[in-house]
Amino acid sequence: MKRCLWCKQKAVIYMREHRLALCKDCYPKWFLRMTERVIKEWRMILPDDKILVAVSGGKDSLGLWFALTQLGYEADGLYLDLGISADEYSLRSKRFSQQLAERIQRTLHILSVSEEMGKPVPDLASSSNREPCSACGAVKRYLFNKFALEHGYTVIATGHNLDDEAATLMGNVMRWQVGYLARQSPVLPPKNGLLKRIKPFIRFTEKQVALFTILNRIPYIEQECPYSVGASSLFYKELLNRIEERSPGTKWAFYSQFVEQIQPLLDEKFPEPELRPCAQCGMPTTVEVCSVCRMKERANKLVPQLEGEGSLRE
Amino acid sequence: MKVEYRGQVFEFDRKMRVKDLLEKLNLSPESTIVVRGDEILTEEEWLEEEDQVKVVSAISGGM
Repeated sequence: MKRCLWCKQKAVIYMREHRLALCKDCYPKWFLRMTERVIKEWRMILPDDKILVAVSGGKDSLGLWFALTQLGYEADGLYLDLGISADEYSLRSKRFSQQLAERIQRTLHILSVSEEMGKPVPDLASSSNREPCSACGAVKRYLFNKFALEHGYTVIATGHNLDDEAATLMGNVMRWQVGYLARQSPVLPPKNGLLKRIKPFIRFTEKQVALFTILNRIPYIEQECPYSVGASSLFYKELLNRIEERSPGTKWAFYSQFVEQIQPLLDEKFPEPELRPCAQCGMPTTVEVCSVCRMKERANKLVPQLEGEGSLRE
Repeated sequence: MKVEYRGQVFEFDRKMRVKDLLEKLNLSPESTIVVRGDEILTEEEWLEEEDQVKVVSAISGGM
């Protein structure tokens, strides 16, 4: 039986990449210390920042919100009700988010995508012929940014972890999506109407985040989003975990070396296209009318044809 | 032993280590947490025939 390196109690995790075994009491302390270190190292949060956490009801975002408040940051949450009715996914996710808000005594804002966009995410995706995860991502980024701007927040914190980032990196490398690669970073600075976005959990694997959340007795939605089944990100995560089993530390090396050595070169060579206000909503975009406004327009125009046939909710 | 994983229950009739259980279920120890009651188990620990455990998947998709 492995013993905790710090206090010699029975270990609950052995992190081969750190050669570190920790028990149920020491692990959360290590986790918070590491989170703080990442925040400081990347200058993610400045003293005057007003933080909004993108809360989904999953382990990562709830774990992040909890960790930030434990570290003394006054962070509020925003939950987006995506309108995913399968298995009451959105309803249950919202309940978990509300439970944590109550426990940590912080404000949880709730926005309904159906109210904001006229249709829930599955309908927006089907009418625009986009993959559900792609449409969902675009809507989430848009609404989080818009809400944060309108309510005086200066930074949006998301629960992306090392597995998320390494899988995204792998996907972008496989297709040499240089534009996306140039902007994959733990901190995205504010720019022309886009707020600063930070990812304080980039140093942790999904398992490490899940363990922190479980040990702190934070209930979260364990079920995957019904629309993510078969997503390529899951496949890349599995592949990377198989590599990690054989060679501990590979995921971090893959991601961190990219961020330190390659990303700055790409950033220089492929500057972000100029942003301008969307002609319809005024939010920043690279084209005349932003992709979210176009999605919204199509979904609401196509409603009569789509209802009952081919809706992703069916 | 009874093993719950994503709403399904699997039964095994012999003791084994956590890592062997994960191998039988074709799961990576990098993305799963095995829980017995309130206790979180590491890969090297033994599971007895009468144990009831839950395997929690840490992987989530659709970023």
